[in-house]
Amino acid sequence: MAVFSEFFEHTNFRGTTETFSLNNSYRYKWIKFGSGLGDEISSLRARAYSGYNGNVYGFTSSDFLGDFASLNMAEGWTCWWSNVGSGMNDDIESAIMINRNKSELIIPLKDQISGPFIAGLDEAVAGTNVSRNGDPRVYSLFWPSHDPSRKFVRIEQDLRVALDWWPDYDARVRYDVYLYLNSSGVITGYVAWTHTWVEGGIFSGDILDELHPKLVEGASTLTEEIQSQLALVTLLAAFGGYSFKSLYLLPAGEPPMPPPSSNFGSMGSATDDSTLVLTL
Amino acid sequence: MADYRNPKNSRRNELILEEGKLAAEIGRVPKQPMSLDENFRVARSTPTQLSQASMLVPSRIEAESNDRDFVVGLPSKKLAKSSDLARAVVPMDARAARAEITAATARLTPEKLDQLLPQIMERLEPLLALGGNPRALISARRALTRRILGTSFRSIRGRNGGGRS
Repeated sequence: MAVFSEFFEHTNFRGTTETFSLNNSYRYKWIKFGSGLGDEISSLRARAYSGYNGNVYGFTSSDFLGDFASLNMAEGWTCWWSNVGSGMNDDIESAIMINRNKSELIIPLKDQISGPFIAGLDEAVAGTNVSRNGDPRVYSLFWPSHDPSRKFVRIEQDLRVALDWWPDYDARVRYDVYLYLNSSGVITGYVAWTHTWVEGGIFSGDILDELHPKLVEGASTLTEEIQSQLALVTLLAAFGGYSFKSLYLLPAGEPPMPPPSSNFGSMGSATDDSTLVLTL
Repeated sequence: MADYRNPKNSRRNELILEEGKLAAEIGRVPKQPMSLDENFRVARSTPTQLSQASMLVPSRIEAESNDRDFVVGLPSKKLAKSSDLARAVVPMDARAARAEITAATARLTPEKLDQLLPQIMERLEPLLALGGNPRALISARRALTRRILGTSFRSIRGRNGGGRS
């Protein structure tokens, strides 16, 4: 056992309770509260022990997305939200408990990915009727319904499609990047899924038919870019004398671990960032 | 699918109606029937097809090592419906299970957490899932929490935070 957590219906650890423990055999335990404590949770507490640090996240969406309240426990620490506050109260639908190793290399991915992605996409759509609408969102996607045994780094980009003599259409592309550590300890990754969305309208189907194949084609370019970035990480790790034992993802940015106790937890949005963790 | 909701959705019904009128004037027919449901969207997902020879494809062992790192935590109501509950509770009546939890909790020390907590949780989860929350069970759970979390939560009401204990 390494992480023990409890979720409560009311503030100050009162009311109906759900209790969970995560043992050392697994990295994650995930919970979907459903009709029991779903949208009912007001307080939570957790402890990490037995050689591990730990994190617990409660999410406002049932798919480990939306806003979250997290707890960050160094080994031997108990952390708690006696009241998750009006922003999160009665809004938590799912949770993830995570075993954290003591020796890890942590890489926030948003800044690593956004720049090259923007440059590549802008180059690909130059001279077309498609343009980027804002910056990409990069976040961790855990066990989605379209691929429920895997976790991904998702790159999500809003697009605008201009039509002659017609109002613009909003569109969106999502690339789900699968990362893993191969048997030689080298980080490998590729775009595993491409999703395209076009807003409803008379030309939605035509736009989707034209846009989606091009975005699928772009996935191979993105995979090449990811490969070159990962090769750089591997090279730097080799220079630093690191060898990796496993790889996993955290929601959003890197959680600070106590002490000081003010780092007990945080609140944020799951789509703010994705954090790659390599255990040493 | 609030995930797909677009800021323009609030007036998208009107937009589609306007577009429909415009399209009728120029003889265009929508490729797909247009729903006026606010969650209607046109979307497609495509998995990347890699050849088995590709260096990107993880071996079975690599994929298992990377992906089989999670376990599902069942909330009480789901656990109550699962066959695990019957297996866990039938061999032992609730009173005996509570006594076992209480006894194991009394022996619980930080050094024995690894050994004893799995046994306690195995007994506790189905009992909690059975509902009713009899007083003895609540008392056993509180004792367990005090042993594990090591914190007097009565003293931290109204405060968010953390501490070593």
